[in-house]
Amino acid sequence: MNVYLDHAATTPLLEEVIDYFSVVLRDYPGNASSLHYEGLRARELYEESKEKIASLIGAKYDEIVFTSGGTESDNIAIFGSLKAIEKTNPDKRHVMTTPIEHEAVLESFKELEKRGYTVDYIPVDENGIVDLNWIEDHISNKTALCSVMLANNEVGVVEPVEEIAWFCRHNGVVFHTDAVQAMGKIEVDVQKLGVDLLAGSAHKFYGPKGVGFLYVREGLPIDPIVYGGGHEGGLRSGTENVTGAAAMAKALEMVVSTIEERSAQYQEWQKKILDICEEIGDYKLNGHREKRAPGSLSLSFKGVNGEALMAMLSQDGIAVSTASACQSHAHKKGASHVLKAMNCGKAYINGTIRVVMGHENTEEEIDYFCSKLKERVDFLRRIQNG
Amino acid sequence: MADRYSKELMKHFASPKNIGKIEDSTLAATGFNESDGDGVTFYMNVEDRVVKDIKYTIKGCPRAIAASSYTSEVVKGKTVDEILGMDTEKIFSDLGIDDSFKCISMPLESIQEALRDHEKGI
Repeated sequence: MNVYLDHAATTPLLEEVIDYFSVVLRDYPGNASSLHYEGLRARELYEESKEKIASLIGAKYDEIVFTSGGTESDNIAIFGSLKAIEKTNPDKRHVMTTPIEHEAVLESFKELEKRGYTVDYIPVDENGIVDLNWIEDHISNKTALCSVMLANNEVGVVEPVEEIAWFCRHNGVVFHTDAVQAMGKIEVDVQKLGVDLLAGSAHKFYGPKGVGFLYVREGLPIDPIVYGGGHEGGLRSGTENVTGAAAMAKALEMVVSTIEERSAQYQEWQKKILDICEEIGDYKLNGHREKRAPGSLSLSFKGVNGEALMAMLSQDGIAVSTASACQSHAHKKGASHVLKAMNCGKAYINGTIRVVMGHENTEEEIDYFCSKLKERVDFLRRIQNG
Repeated sequence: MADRYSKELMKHFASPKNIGKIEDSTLAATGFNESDGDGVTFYMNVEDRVVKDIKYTIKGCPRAIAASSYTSEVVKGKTVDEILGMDTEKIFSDLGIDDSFKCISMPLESIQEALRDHEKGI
């Protein structure tokens, strides 16, 4: 039996999306910027897809920019908005983010530091939730941008983005959220959230890889960071990925329509998994117990090497990920920056796996995972103790 | 040669050999990876300068488990001189890993260190 429980890394395309993708790939060969009949057909589908994405997240058509994925969306949001701010407010050189962001944001902020920006990292508590008071204390008239993810990719916690966005708005600070892990798992409505910029990626919600979107609030000053044919309102040049955009819209539509029922199902399965963890003992569920994306669990087992557990489960046909790659490698990646920021403790960080459920999982698969998890943790503890 | 996992390495990882403790062993060897708290302890019976028996307990990544299994098989029945003459490079090549993971060299290095100390009477 193969059980895929790594839906935060990527999700398999839904059958309906594969079918639709194939149809569009075959039947819409035109360049959406061409003015002949093939181009106009492709343009029409592209615009319909954009309209669909916009309506699914409470945005307007003109507020959506299609990109190649989450990383590009984050980069355009961060560098593009700061580029525009530099022109009108060159003194605004302070930016904020959290230490638990995805590398797409963290590495962008490291680059900002090199470019002379003052970067502050908003602390998170042991549950992975950002400190709102800290933001209030550190925001100033020099602050240009704040970026806080909506749902964390490692531990699944959902951040109080609505509150942070409100606070930023009232202090003249542009607010960006990386919503890549939240899309399709929880309701995402840009009006309710009150964000200026929001990034999404299709392959995290059962769409194809290589396509994503960026929401840019109407009227927000933002400059392109890549130049070319002036596509996407001049913000993201490059021939339109009609097939990808259409499949992404289809996937999001399908996924959003089942959020509630999936969420209830995942809660039941989460309980099963946590019950078996109680039986296994000496474990920790990382991240806030309630404020989390349904179906996402980060589990740490004391006295166990997470990579060994992941590899053993893989031999059983179960795909989960580990938060801690081996540190003895010359090109070591090191332990999870997210768990370190949450003060998880070395003994636990080292024994962490991430389990993220998805649409195709079944009760039988979860039961199989639970039995193998116990068997493998017991084995790894046994070989440590002899 | 593989970056992190090879077929040969995974064969050892899937069913590691010589796991356990020898209660009245004559020599113990320990290796640690302080950065992540992993480690291995070998228990050996050394008689007439020959490693007659070897077992180990371990907390480590797949490479550390596989390398400990492989190393335990390789050193069993060998003389102290033969073991001290072994090169960790051979372990990397036999396990099909082309990079310098400390967790792969650690088992042999810790056994060699313990044998050297044993020879000196430390």
